[in-house]
Formats: sequence, C-alpha cells, structure tokens
Amino acid sequence: MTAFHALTDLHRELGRVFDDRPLYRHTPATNEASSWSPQVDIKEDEGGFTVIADVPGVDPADVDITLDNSVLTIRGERESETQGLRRRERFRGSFLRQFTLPESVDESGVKASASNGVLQVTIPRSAKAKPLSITVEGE
Amino acid sequence: MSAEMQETDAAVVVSIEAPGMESGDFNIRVEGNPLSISGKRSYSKQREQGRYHITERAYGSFQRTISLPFEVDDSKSTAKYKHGVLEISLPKSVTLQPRRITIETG
Repeated sequence: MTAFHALTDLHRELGRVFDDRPLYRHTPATNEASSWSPQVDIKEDEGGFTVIADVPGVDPADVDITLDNSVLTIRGERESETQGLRRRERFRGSFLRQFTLPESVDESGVKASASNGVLQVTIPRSAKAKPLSITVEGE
Repeated sequence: MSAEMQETDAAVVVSIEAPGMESGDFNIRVEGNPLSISGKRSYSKQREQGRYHITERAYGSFQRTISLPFEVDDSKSTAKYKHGVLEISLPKSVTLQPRRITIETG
C-alpha cells in the first residue's frame, strides 16, 4: 500500500467518525478481481440508506452480500450462454461493489431484496442517530 | 441497454438488459427486418422522498433496433422477461430452416 492510499484511508476513517459522510465508495483490495460492477443509486432518507443496484441477468440466489468491519460488499456472478453469439455486449463473470458505511447505521438491521434484476439493500439508521423531536411543554 | 444476439439452427434469440421494468412496459416490433424494441424506465415513487448521494442508474426512454441475420417467422416469435433481461426468440422463416432430404430407394 502506498503512502497515498494510507492517507486516503485515514481521510475516509476520519470522515466516517467525525463527519459521518454517507456510504463512501470503498476501493476493493487488489486481490479481489471482478469483471464488472453494477450501477447503483444511493438514497438517504429519515429511516436510513438504500443502495439500489442494477444486476440484470443475475439470479438473486447468486448474489452474496456481506458486512464486515463497516464495509458493505455486494458480489456475485453472472453466467450465460456464449455459444452462437452474433453480437456480444453484456459483461459476464463476477461483479463486486463495496461501500463503507457511516457510524450512524444499525448494521444488524441491513436487509436486501431483489426484483426484475434490481437489487435493493436497506441500511437503517441506528436508534440514537435518528432525529429526535422534543416538544416544549406549556405551563 | 446492452443487447445480444444468439443464433441457433432454428431461431435467433435477442437478449436485452433492462432491469427494473415490468413485462408490459416493452414495445416489441418485428415487421420483417429489423427488430425494434422500445420502453421507458420510470422513476419510482420512492424517489421523491429523500436525497441521492450517488445516481448511476439510467432512467427514461430507450430504443434499440437490431438487424436480424435472416428472415424470421414473426407470428411464432415469443418474448420473456426474467431477472431484468428481456429475451426475444424469433424462429427462422420456414423456408430457411435446414431440411433433411431423404434418399428414396427404388
């Protein structure tokens, strides 16, 4: 790892702790090669974060989502017939996307669902990070 | 919208990556040649709430026109939509299908 990488990692870590910026793109370790990465949208609302990824042609059973050390990893495999192809535009093989989660999320509450080639991972905010509204009591 | 075309002895199969659609959202036209597929991926209602940090996914209308390598029998064409991939199967026109010719012994 170069000094520059160490510095960006430190920056990311500090941002995670103090600034609490949401869902940093996490650069995969060099030993994790993948042939394509799905396109994602990341949304934040009161409840938490939602990662929406386009994974057309991937069986939901072939998707593996892990959470380790605040790093959310979405990986999987897309294989399809290549025999007799006259036109080839689609990527095949393994895919990988990683995101660093902020401190304020409830890691145990992460849920995932898939429909029509779209994967949706919901990451709830932890109870203490939810905005609290305090009403002022009158006399 | 990545599209692929696969040829077998009896048909040509066109596959298009179109995640997040419903099967009724596609408009597929085969009038001889070429094949034309269009549709629209709409923003979901959920999109109105919350803010987006990353938006890489594409929305809106799309159209692909693909020249077929041979004449197809459009009346027997079928389409299915699974895991976000639209697959259109177009059988070869009967006149183009390989025929086995038996030798009559006499």
